[in-house]
Amino acid sequence: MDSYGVIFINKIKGLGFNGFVSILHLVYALWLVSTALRVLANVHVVPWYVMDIIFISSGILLLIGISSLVMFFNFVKSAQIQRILASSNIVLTLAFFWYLSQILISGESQITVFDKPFNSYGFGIISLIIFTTILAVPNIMAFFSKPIEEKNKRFIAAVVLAFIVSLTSLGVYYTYLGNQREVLLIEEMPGDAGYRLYGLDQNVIDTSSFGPFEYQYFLDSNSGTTGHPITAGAYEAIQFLQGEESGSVLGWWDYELDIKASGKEPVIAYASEEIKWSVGRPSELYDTFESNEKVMDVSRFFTATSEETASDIAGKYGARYVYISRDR
Amino acid sequence: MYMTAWPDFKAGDVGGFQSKAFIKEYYEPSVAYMFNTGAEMEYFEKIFENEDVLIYELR
Repeated sequence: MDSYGVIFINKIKGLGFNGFVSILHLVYALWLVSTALRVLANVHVVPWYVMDIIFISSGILLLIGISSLVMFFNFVKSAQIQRILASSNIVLTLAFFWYLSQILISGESQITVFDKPFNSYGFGIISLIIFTTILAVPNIMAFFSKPIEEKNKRFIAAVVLAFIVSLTSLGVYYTYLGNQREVLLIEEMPGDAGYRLYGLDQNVIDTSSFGPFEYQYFLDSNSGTTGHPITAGAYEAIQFLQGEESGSVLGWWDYELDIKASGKEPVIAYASEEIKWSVGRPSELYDTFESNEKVMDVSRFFTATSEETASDIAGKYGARYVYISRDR
Repeated sequence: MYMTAWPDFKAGDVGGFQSKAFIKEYYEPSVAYMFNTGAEMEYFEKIFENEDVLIYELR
């Protein structure tokens, strides 16, 4: 008597190539749809750019997943339509790769390739190549399968409807979260880059990927910045600087947003290309870097052992203020 | 920051950035240390201080 294992293997062998590809599509569909929905269920509304990354990337995975599900059920029963679906999945996979390759994190973290979506799609180039290659496999195989040719127009309409409903739901959810973000808005800061201060609700504080933290606010902007949580003390400092006379401010580039939100100009606002490895999401996101000389000078300002040397460097850049953060 | 200021600097040579040797030899004599501790300085005047942020102005 055959064991269940042997019976299972024989059943898979009996499915043939088409059956195997079909099962593969089911597995991928379940994986991708569940991943996308789980990520979307835990979106934080700030920073805005991470919310956008999550929606665009999850949306693509969701569409590939639904398309894979359609191919598994072979609803349409048309080899031609199957190939069109497989082609569109490959195009979506390439779009996924292209989009995330613009906003790679600077290094591969220890988490697995499959966990990257749960970490704000924080791929490095190697994990992104692996992930998208895995995504493409069943769709490439679908080109070689030949489903039964019995075109059923009703199911074509159902497939189109499924895509429309999915995209519309995503749009509605995105709008809903955007409105939630507006509710959290406390202050719009001066300046033309949309500096906005949000009060963090307890849920964000408790479930942040950084762990529960003491930041009460989130400072965001629609300019080339990554946005970050700030403490009540930092908010107080921003308000203080707003009341001071104009002048540029020396600080590490991490605090450019705090300084700009106070209406002052930071000496450096970004890292240099030479130290982009030290940046979580590189400023490649906006393809903006400071000159390395400037960043080195600011580093030498802080590491100097004499006030005179530091003062000379500050003078070189016409800096009037120095901004020091104790909490980050 | 030290590695940016001095590309050849190797914190490992003094036991890493958290080591007592690094703190004693490099951090404590630096201007950054004076700022972080809220020290009164000759070239810079402290104009704001709370538990999270310090702001100095060049004299």
